[in-house]
Amino acid sequence: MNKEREKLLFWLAAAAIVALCANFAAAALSGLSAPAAVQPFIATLAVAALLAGLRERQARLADMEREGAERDSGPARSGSIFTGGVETGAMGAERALKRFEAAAQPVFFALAAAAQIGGAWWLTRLSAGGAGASGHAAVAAFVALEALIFHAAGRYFGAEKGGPGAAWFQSPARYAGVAAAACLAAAVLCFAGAAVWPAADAWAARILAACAGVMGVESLLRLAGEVYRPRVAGVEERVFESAAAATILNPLSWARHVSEAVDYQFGFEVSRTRIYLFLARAAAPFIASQIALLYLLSCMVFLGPEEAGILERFGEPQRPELAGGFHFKLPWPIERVVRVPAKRIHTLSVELEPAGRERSGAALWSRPRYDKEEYFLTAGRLSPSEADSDSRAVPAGLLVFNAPLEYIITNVYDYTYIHRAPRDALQKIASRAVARKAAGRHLFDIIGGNLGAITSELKAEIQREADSNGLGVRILFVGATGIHPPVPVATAFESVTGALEERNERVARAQGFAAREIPLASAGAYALLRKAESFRVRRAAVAAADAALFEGVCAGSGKAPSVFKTMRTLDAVARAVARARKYVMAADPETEVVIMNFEKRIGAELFELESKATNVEAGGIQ
Amino acid sequence: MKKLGLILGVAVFCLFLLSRIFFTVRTGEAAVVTTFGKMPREAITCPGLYARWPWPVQDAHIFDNRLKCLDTAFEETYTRDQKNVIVMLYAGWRIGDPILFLQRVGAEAAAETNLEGLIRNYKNMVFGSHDFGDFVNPDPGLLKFDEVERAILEPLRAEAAGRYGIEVAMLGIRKLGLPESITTHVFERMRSERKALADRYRAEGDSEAMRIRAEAEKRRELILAEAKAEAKRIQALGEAEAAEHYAVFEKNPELAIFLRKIETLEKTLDEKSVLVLGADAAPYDLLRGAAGEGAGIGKSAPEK
Repeated sequence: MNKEREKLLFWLAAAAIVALCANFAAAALSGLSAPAAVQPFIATLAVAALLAGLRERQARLADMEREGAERDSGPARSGSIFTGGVETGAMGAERALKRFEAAAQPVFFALAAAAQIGGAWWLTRLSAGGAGASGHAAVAAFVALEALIFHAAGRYFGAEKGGPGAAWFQSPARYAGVAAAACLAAAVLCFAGAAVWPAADAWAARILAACAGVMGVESLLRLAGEVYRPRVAGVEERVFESAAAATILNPLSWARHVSEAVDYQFGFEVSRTRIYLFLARAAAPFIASQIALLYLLSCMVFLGPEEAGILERFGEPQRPELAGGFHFKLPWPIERVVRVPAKRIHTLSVELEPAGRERSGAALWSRPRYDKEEYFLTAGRLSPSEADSDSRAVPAGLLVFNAPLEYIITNVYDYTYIHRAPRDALQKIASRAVARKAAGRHLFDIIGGNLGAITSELKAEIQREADSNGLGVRILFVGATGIHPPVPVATAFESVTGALEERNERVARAQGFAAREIPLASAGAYALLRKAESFRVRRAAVAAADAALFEGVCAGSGKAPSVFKTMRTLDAVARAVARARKYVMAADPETEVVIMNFEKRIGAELFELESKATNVEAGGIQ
Repeated sequence: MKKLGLILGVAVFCLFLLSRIFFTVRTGEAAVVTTFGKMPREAITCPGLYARWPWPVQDAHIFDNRLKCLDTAFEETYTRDQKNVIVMLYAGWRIGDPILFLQRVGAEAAAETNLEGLIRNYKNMVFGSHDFGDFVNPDPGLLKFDEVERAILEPLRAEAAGRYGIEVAMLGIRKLGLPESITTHVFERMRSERKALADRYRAEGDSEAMRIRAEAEKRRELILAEAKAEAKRIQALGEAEAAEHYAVFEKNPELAIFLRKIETLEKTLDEKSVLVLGADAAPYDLLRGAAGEGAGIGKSAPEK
């Protein structure tokens, strides 16, 4: 019996390993995620079946040894003195079995956690089946076949009756059931990917990766619990237990657990009360009626004050458009309403979306206003030599041009049905218009006094392009904010303004000089003239006075000619020398007298007595 | 309860079956219904409710047929006059022939990949046959944006329609730029231009200031010179007027000179003057006479 069970378990493990390989091949060939998504569950099943098979093998060896020991301990050998040795051998096999059983649980949880968490991580990185995926139907059929095989295996192993080692034999049944459920889900989603929902294959990978992750976390917790779990002799342990697997196999089991917990908390069976039973009976009709009501609510439409609606009947738009307010319509999928914010003013900023986060603070050219500012190419000015030459080389400049644009939807049908992303199209049209406008002008033609005209032209051009492309919008405003030279050269632009101020300052200083000097010169000239005039008057007056005096003196000298001169001389000498220092030399004229006067500083000429002896100054050497 | 579940199950199944049979084509959509993979003669482009056999007999491929905007990469290219420029184009496209589109392309992502390759191809060809001045020029009349866009769009439209079943409805040059290395040099040139202008303003300031100063100095000198000349003229008048009075001195020139000498003597001697006088000079000759006579100071100076 043990040998047969051992074979079955090994066959199950082998089947799981073959399925693993086949699924890898199917995923690689088809490009679908569904075959890969079931791998963590099949790997867990393979580990469980392998360990259970090994345990069966060890149990069979222990049974064989026990039977041998019983034969050896029969009546013929009852008097043998070696009975103890035979018992020792039988107990060794039993101990090996017990050691295996003790070690198998943590080994299983460790391997299962690795397979489940590793598989979940791998699935999250696995690219979902996209446009290149193919063979949905074949893959779905193959995975469904796997589901059938694992389901049959689970039913078979789970049907084992109780007995020694039955828990071990049944243990793979749970994981076979989980693998079957995963395969069934993958097959259904793979089929849906072909027929209904292209993204179903990707969702199969996501959902099954989440389930594998949850099971992996539980396996890790159980691995940790194995260290501290009390082991009671004689009590048969649960083998490879998994609450997550049980929930997957029986989704309503959580409800039963909740019900049992409520009963335990209240001290009586709440689940047996009338109200509970009534609610349990009414739940399904209630939910069904709510779903029906929700469906009927799709007959009513409330449009906001800023909205207009397009009523579509089997996809065909009805006219006229619906205004804001309450409207009836036939339920989905017969009729549906497309909402369009037609009354609202929409704003976009050319070349600033989606990076357009404006920084606060003063808006300076030398400080980036946005995280990323786009440059538009502008024309540079040709130098006279370049303008005269035949080469058509045009210097280029760069400009930051943030043009906020406001528009309103005027034709909801065009806006909805001609372009899939009309706002995006308008953004591109506006960018084109700005790029053209910038490329055809010099920087200062844009940021100078022409800005108003340029924004008007831009508005007209964008409107013309929007109309010709059927956008169904009216451009209300094109602004001219944030138009400036690039930040790296902004300082150079500011320095020009500084230089202008410097120029004015220098001119003003010179004007100040002129304003000061000319009046001073005029005043000096005036003073000179006045001085000359005073000189003239004084000169004439003094001359007249001198003449009069002379005539008087002449008359006087005629009266006493012999003494006149002497008297006048002495009078004059008396007046002249009255204040002067006088030395009267009473010695012989031949005697030379040198007088040193130290009242004044002695100059260098003192030491040049020879050359300066005859050129003495008053106050120097005398 | 079981009956309700059965009804619900049948209802769900019927809804599923109906959803597999009927499908809606909205305005702005196109559908291609294939039978065992075989293409139909015509695609469905009119909005409405349509029926088909459920999968796997018939399959409906529904495409959004509204205009979709595609941006090409901001890509560097070369102009005829050998200048590097970075260009970004945009194109608005829709599915022109849904059957051909399904056969040749199948999905929008693949369509945009193919279309972008075509646009880049024609963009490089057309930009390579135009000068940089056709895209950037201070004279807007010399810009050739329209011509360039048309030159890209026309072959692109024909090829995309014939090869992929795609209708290219619009195409535009969204952005022009320069490679980063060139941008650095453009910045340098812009800085140099600004610096030259700033230097010019400063030089103008110096020049104007110098001119104003020179003018002021000239006017000052002129005023002073005129004033000095006028002053001298006035002084000359004074001298002339004074000279008229000098005629009186001719009556006794010796006396006049004598008087002037005396006057000069008085003016030139002040308290700082030091005089060394001989004892023979009057009136100190009196000292000499007194000394000879009694005190031994000396005899008086002879009378001059």
